[in-house]
Amino acid sequence: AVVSTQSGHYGREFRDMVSSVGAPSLVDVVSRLYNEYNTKTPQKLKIIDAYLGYIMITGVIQFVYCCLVGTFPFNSFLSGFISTVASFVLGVCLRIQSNPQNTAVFKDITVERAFADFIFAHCVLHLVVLNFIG
Amino acid sequence: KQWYQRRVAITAGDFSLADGAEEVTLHQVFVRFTNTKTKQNVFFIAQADLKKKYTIDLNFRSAAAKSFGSVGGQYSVDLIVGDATLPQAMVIDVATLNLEIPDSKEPAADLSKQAKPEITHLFRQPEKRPPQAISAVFTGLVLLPALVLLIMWAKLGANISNIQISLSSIGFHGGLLAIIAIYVNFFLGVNMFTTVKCLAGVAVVTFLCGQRLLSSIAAAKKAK
Repeated sequence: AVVSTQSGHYGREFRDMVSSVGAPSLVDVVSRLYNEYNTKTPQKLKIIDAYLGYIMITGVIQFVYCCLVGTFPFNSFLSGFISTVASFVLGVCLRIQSNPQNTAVFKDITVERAFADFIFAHCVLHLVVLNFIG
Repeated sequence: KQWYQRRVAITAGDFSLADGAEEVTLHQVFVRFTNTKTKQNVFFIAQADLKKKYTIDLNFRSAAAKSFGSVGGQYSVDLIVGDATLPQAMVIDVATLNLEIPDSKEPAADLSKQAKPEITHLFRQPEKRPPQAISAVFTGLVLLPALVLLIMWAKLGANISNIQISLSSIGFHGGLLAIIAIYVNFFLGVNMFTTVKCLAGVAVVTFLCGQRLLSSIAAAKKAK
């Protein structure tokens, strides 16, 4: 019920916006996305999103450093970069599995189970990364 | 004596057992010229023809340059005989010759016994690394987003107010910290075997505590 109300609400507002000013501009869409995100997303998901943003920025910085100074200890660059990529993927998995809107898809996996998988995968990931970083 | 185109005919027949006059062919028959001054040896192999007569074909004009190195002087000539049937090889002094070679050269210095030029090993040059300053800057830059994350989490209101101080909670969090400590140790140089051994024990404890803790949280959520 919550899902249908949301989409109906969105559709009405969207039609209002379109009818009032013609085609919505990029600024309108982005600002609307921003507002929706701030109001409709549960706090837990926002926390995970902040974590994902952090991981991505760290990955970008590592990549820029590699582009600047070359790939000499290539295994170190690879392990660091893949660590960020894999952490990002695991974070996305956690977010998908803990989103209350997706409980229909993940029937048997509780949020706690998703978190436990997240932790375990991270332990394995960091062991491998530390081994490869040389 | 000067020998120019003279064939040396040697008959090797003194070694048979029967009556001492029978001619035999042996495996190894060499004629050795030894320069008495420089002690340099020049060998020639004597071939046996069908009549069992050994000859060495010495064209001294060409041999002077090629084999003798144009070094004239006194040479002693030996006959070296060896065979599978002989218990010991024999060296028979045949003659001493004075070779006068036109355009005689001084014997070349023997280079094989002198020291070769010294080789200094070129160790592999280390790869070019960026200056320390840049690496330090980027290390700081990479750690900066962590601070940003903490600030954003604080702004979002992330808190640990719901934490319960139970045995499983302490076990789980303590176990995670222990795993992080093991990993730091591993990075600092402990080898993989020790790491995995320590990890095995801690992982079991962490897993059990974590499972218990998370199930209790899930049950509490369901009950709400």
